[in-house]
Amino acid sequence: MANSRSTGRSPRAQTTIDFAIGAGVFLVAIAFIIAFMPAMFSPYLDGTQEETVAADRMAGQLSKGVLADPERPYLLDSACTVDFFNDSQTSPPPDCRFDQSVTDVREKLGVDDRFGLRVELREPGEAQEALCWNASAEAVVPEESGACDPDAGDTVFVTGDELTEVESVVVARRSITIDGREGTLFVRVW
Amino acid sequence: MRDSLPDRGQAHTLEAVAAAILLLGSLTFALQVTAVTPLSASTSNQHIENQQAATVEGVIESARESGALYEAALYWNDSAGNFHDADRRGFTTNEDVRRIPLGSALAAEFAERGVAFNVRFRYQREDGQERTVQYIYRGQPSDNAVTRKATVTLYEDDPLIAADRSPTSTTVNESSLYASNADPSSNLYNVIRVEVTVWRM
Repeated sequence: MANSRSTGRSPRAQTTIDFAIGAGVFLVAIAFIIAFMPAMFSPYLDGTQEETVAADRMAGQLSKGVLADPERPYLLDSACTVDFFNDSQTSPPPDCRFDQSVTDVREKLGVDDRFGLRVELREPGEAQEALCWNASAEAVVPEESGACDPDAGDTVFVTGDELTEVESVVVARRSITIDGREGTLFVRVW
Repeated sequence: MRDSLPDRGQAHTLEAVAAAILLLGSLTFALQVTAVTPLSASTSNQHIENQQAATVEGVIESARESGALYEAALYWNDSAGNFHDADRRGFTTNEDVRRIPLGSALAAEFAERGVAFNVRFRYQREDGQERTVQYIYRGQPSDNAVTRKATVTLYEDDPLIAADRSPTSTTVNESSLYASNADPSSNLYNVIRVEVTVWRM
């Protein structure tokens, strides 16, 4: 007994290294659990579920009922599409299926003010340029092709708010054809 | 009593490990209890599938309108007995898909985004059994793949399409097309169902 006390060891068959390993394992486990706590609550936080549903509905509505004849979905009518994206309302055709007396795109679609909304018509694929209606030639051209001049009455097929840089944006897309040309309709909601 | 002073605090290593296991077990239990819905943010999100399905519908509608579906169903090499740009397995897997409008529309819409697509044709034989022939094959679809279909009606005097997309002088009835004449008594040859499957790679 005197021997065990002078060497600093207890008589319980455990060395210092055992203690170190045990304490180390325990502390690592505690640290991991504390670091994991925030992720455990993430399914209960407010996600983007409303925006997802709204974006999907709006994209479906636009591509199948508002800009296109419901009997010929995804084939957009040029005149109504130009009127939809053109905020200045110059000589609209009379029988488009959205409220032509308002200028805000949210009111045209019947969407609440709390959503940020941006509707775009672009070339097919990812991050392509927007399409534009050349009023003089009465044709759809890409925006960067030089034939599109917004000051001369051409309509770029982009409307809505500027994209936010801080919030999560939900994107819904549809593949459409306008004026014999394929394009992709993007509806961005945040 | 003086011997027991250094024994305060943690005792055996085994107790420490057991405590750690207990804590991790309770954390795992709590995580399993929380719900992950189809709309939770992940790569198998339902929203992604919905968008892909709707985009495929749009591409198919455009192809139907422009006649590209019809052209794809008849893009058959009669002398070789398979499609024009098919390899020895009978279907095409590479960039040649862009040679016909249906393939190039699908590639333009999907290829850059890492979304793969398969195209196959389904038809009926005279005895009523359905057969499938693969036209574009990009791999086995994942569990989150979506499929959309459209039908093309072939008549007996429709010409086959050559490799440069011009109509040949061989009509469907005189050729060895993958589909046989389902109704020899009328002008109808067969009804082909075009199935497009897309999935995220």
